[in-house]
Amino acid sequence: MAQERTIKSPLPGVFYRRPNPESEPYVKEGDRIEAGTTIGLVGVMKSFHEIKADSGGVVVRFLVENEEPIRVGQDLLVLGD
Amino acid sequence: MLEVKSGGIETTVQDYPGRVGLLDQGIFPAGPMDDLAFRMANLLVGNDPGAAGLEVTAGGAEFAFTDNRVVAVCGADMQPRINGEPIELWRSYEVKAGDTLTLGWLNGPGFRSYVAVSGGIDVPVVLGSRATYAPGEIGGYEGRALKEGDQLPLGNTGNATPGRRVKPSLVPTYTSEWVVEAVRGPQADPDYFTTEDMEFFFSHAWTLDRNSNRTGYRLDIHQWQWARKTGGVAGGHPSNILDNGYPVGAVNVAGDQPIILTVDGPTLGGFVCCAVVAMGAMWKLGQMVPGWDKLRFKEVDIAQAAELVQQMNQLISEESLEGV
Amino acid sequence: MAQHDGQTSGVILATVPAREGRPKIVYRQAGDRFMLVEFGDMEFDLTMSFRVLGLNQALKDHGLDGLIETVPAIRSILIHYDSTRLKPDRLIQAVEDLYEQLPPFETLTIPSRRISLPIAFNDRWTRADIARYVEHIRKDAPNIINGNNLEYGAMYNGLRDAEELMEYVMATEWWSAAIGFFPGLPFLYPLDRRYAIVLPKYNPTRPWTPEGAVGIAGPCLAIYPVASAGGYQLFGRTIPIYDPKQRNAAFAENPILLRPGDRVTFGPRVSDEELIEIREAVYNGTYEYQIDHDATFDVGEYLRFLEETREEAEAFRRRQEEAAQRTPVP
Repeated sequence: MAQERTIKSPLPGVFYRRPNPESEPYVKEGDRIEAGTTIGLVGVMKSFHEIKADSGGVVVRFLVENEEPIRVGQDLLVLGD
Repeated sequence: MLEVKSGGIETTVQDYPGRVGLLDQGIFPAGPMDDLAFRMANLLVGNDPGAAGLEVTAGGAEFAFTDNRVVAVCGADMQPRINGEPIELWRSYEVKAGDTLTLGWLNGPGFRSYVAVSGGIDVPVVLGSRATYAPGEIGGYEGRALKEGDQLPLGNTGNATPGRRVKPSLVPTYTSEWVVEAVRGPQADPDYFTTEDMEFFFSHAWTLDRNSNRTGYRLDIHQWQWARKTGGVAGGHPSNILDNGYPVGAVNVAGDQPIILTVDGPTLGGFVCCAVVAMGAMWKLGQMVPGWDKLRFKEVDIAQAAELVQQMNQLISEESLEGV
Repeated sequence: MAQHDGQTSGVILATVPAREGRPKIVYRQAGDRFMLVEFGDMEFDLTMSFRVLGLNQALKDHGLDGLIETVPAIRSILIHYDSTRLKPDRLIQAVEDLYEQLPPFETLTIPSRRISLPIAFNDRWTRADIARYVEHIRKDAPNIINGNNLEYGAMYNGLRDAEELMEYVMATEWWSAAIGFFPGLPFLYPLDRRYAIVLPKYNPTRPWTPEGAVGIAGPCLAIYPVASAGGYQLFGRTIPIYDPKQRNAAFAENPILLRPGDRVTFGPRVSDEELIEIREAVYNGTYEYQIDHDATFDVGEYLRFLEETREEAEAFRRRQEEAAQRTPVP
């Protein structure tokens, strides 16, 4: 059975799935990603911080919507093997 | 020297009380958003409580030292580490040349962490203060937030004392639902707001908008009743007045939206102010998380507010510290 | 003791009614370390600024223990004080005593520097920010005609054209009643009412304004000390009034050029290229700001001037009102 784990937000703010409104999302459900892959941005006080995966795997699903406000430690997406 | 390895989201040099006496030139005082944690941190490392230190907002900053110093981190828990080893907040530690101090991400309530270094940050004094005032691009390090590679000069270390902490019972407790003491005025009821408006103001649990920063804290939109129908000569809306000076910490109501004017805010303008955060409660603003935390205003009068300031000044003293 | 009329309710700490030679004064609590002193009623009367600055100077000179600073504005003074050392009642009494000791209003002479600033009208920098506003914020803004606010300004004020608007801006001295909002931003009002342009604000506000831009909203003219958002109708650009790097002798003592009580005139009129040259000279220290440091402002003389020009000013005001009624607002 696949091991599922989540990527958490290190800071409070607004979650963005794309680098800018015209671009493709950083990652989509079903993508295989490496540790260190950027999965989204968190904007706080007009500054944007890239959120990177801490391990590799397959993106199972996102747990937050694009532009959704998030808390510190909130789960952003589920990663499977 | 303090070398910035990472400036995080927003890290600035501040001192306390900042640039006082320049309101008539359009300059708000700047200084730390949470002056309680800031002054405590300085006290712990043997500095004057107002000495220049660092304000780390929302987390993620790293510094390296080039000589021996004493440091303390107070405020929000950003899981501080020296050379990778976790350290306690509200406590002074010795660091040696080559050591690094890292602040990670927020862990629990609170939003700003303060780093004091013995000797203080020795950036130039501009208009009487070292505090960074971003709207005017002055003070601090080149008038801006810190970036990787910045080299901050440090002052001469005096009676630096590692191994001290704030007595645990005196460490301020943080929450996500704050009660902030505020004093009515100058355009509260009866002539600008109604009594009902002010009752609502002092009872509602306001949410802090995520677009809140050192210039202003935005609160929820509210349909005020208003005691006047229009702003008369000053403009169509009853929130308009002929421009007047704004108090530091004023709750300014522009149209439907209240905005608390924080330490980098505008000094003057044409909107009413229904209340002013008490000086002794300003520190709480610094620890609120934009977009999430709630706050209620508790009305106090001028005498009670003066009492708060005195209590706070008593707290920021050697008697609050102990050896570890 | 000050003669309070007993109207103390809520935040109004004291009201001193109008009497011969002085307007009503209301003292308002403004938190635990500020008090707002308001003159007269909520109406636009530039002469209130002279009373404000007269009292403000007296407060500064007096050095009351516990008084930290004062913030003069068009009809008020915000007093910053230490409420742990100075009680509100004592502060009110001290202000009243000082006000009573001021010489009669008509004989006031206020230190008032004269400063002239070169201006480039309808310059490329303000036009660029206005174009961005049209592209990104509001396409159908009625206050933007041919990519500028000057033509709208002329229409709203019943003037012949943009050229006449520029002449009006240059024809009057502008009184600095207050400095604030941003560092060094002056709130300037026309001393010659015959040229008193009035304009509504942008709606919504403009996210960009060049540093040095000159704009008007209501009766007030502002110079933007730093690039910033703004709501005033723009018509030109001048030289820096704020330099945090203090690169010119005018900024040697203070990065802020203007003070309350200064009088500003705009001129000479320069091209964009000339403005670039002057601005470079400002920053390399070779430009000398045109400032008469020793000038004073005689209130009595000004009141006589107002009387002499009253009819012409009234005629312009009526023309403006008619024009404003048939001009759309943003």
